[in-house]
Amino acid sequence: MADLLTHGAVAVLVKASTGWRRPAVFVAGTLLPDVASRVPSIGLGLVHVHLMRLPEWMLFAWEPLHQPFGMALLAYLLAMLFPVAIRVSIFTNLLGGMALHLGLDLMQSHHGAGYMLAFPFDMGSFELGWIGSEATVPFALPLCLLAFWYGKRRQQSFSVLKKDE
Amino acid sequence: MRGPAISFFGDDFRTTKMVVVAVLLAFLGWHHARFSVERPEGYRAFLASPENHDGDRVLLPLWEVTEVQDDSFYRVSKSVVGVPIVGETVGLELGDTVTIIGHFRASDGAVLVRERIDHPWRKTKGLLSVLALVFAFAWVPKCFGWSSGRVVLRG
Repeated sequence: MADLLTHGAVAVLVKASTGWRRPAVFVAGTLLPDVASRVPSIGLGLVHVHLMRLPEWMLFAWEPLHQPFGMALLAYLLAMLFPVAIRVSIFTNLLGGMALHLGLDLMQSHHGAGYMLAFPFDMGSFELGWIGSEATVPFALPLCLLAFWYGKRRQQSFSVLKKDE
Repeated sequence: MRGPAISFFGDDFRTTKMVVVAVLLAFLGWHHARFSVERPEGYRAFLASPENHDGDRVLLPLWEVTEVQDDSFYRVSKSVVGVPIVGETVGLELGDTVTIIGHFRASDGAVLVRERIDHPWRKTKGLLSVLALVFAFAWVPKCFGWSSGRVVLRG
């Protein structure tokens, strides 16, 4: 995974460049794969290594939430929590954000241990391997500042547009 | 919404649909955990039947250094704790993250290092992600709320 700050900044930049409808949902979709999968597995992994041994299933069970099929299910589950009138829009924005997350992660190299894109239908893994697994770190803060500035600008012009309507 | 989208995203059987999807997600998690623990390759599988895997290639991506014994022996941990590694320890410290590519040695379950990749930015990456999490949790109540049993968008 790329760092979460980069994921969030890239999501704001993509949303600001392609329209500004439901940006919060799109950004939430981008953060969700790591929040739902990596945060519990890394947290429990630290407990497992440093505090007490945990059953191994507790370390691995979260991974499908970082895979396309699991992401689609999670996006659907969360979309169903919203009012019916905006549910499809919420689902597509969440799934779009998740797809962006996976796209960014796929660019990384883990020396052969890639991402299982077709689980549970196929167990093969894939990654493009174009950049190192920490390559985004030096760009995270500048990207964040750029995303803040561009997002703010886009939000203002969207507000003016809405007022005119 | 039209056609299939109404039945899929509509309010009819909403709770049932949500429960089915939650159960599916739980099944996926269980299936993946079982696959990860029982798959016939990787260090864990080699350890279960060492004699069948002597000399096999091992990849340990992003494991934490948990012990440095001397110039040529250390241990790394992740899902398996304390995997013995035979290789240079120059520049290694406890808590560092490394990727190990090597070969399995059946006699003691050690991994003989062919290549070690250090990840000096790993801690910074973790800090940036924690920072993003703090921002995200502070931002959630500004953008989302709860009304009449539904999540609503704010702002």
